[in-house]
Amino acid sequence: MEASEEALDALAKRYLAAQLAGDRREAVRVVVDDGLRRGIAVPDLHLGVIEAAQREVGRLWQENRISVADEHLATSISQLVLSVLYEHLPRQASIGRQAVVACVEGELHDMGGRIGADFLEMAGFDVRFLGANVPTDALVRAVTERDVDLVGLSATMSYHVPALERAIEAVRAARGPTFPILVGGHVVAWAPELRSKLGVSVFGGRADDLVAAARQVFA
Amino acid sequence: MTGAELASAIEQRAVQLARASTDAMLADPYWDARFGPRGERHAHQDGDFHVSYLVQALRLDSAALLANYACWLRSVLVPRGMCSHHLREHFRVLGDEVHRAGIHVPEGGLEVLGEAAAALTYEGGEAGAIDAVAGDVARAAATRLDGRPTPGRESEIREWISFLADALAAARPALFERHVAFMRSFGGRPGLAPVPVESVLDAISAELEAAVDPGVWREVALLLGRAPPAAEAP
Repeated sequence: MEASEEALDALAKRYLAAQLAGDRREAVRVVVDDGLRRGIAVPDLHLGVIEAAQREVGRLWQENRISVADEHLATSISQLVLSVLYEHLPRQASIGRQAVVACVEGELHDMGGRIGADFLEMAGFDVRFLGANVPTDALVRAVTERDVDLVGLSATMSYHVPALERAIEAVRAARGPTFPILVGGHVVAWAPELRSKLGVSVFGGRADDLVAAARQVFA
Repeated sequence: MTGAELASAIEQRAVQLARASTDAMLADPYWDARFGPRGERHAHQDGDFHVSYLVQALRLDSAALLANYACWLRSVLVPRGMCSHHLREHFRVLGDEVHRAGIHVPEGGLEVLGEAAAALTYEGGEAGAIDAVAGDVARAAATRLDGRPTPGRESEIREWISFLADALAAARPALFERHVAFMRSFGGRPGLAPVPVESVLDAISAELEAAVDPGVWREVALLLGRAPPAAEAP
């Protein structure tokens, strides 16, 4: 079912309230009982509820209305809810492609990468999500040990651009200069010049757009 | 020297530049009086981040990167008691320190710092109207207070006006009111003759009222505590 913007906004507000109250059960209940079980699509819950609420959490911290501890509490609740939703991902038929998704070395913000990994899985990729702060050499090992077809790299903070560049360079050295690499994360929005510099297959956008573009790479 | 080479030269001296630029800011007793040791710790972290983002902006030839960082950082620092002027000053001082460190800077090589500072100027609304006249108002108000414009007083008035603009832009009057409350207790900056806060507010009010549209002035006057009394009922 395609949820209306109003319905998603209402869920996002209740979800945010549960996050700020530190109420994990209520957060899960809002997303699963009042979202999923009432027919709202998982990608809508990812983007319209969890990601939207996380943006609001970030804004509240920026404006000094909540503490760092509150922000971490809210984020840990979203990690839990994403785990619950993982069981319910509507997966398209396998496209026979393997993907590795990782946050570059030093990058601790892994929620965007995690959502990207879930979206790739929904699009039919076989995904391994390596999480936050993946050392470049470990990333290369993960990409070469298996017959991986695509690497997704996430970077939030701009001072991790050198690590992003090193990761791309190392993956290309191991798998060839045209190996498909997808880059997402906040860094993309702040420095659009990166697109031409990195020369990667897919660059920036929402998780669903990013993944649709990734699928096109193999069409 | 290319932007990437300048970035590398700055990166090699990153610790020194961050420390020097932050220390130069912290030499102003305002910082310790307002934020104490915790503020000093955060100021040094910010200095490290400024240098890091400057390096990345130069390496990518991306003025947008530093400007986006500046605007984002402002949204974090203003609710915690700083103002846009402080951030602009830190960028300016960082540029000075790069030159002082003997790093060869090609013509326009550090324009990204100026562009990031410029990105902090509000456009539109009451905050934009105030920022558009801030320099002239600060000079005139400083002259009104001291009989002649002095850089120190002018900078302090710029700080006042910046707090005003930030509070208006965020629609959070308390941000300005906290600055007023602090300045009432602050012992003052070296080299500046002590002036009562009321006199500063009077000087700023007089110059701003003359410089901005009446509609803007009505909003600003409320924050400055200079709103005209409501007309009495007949």
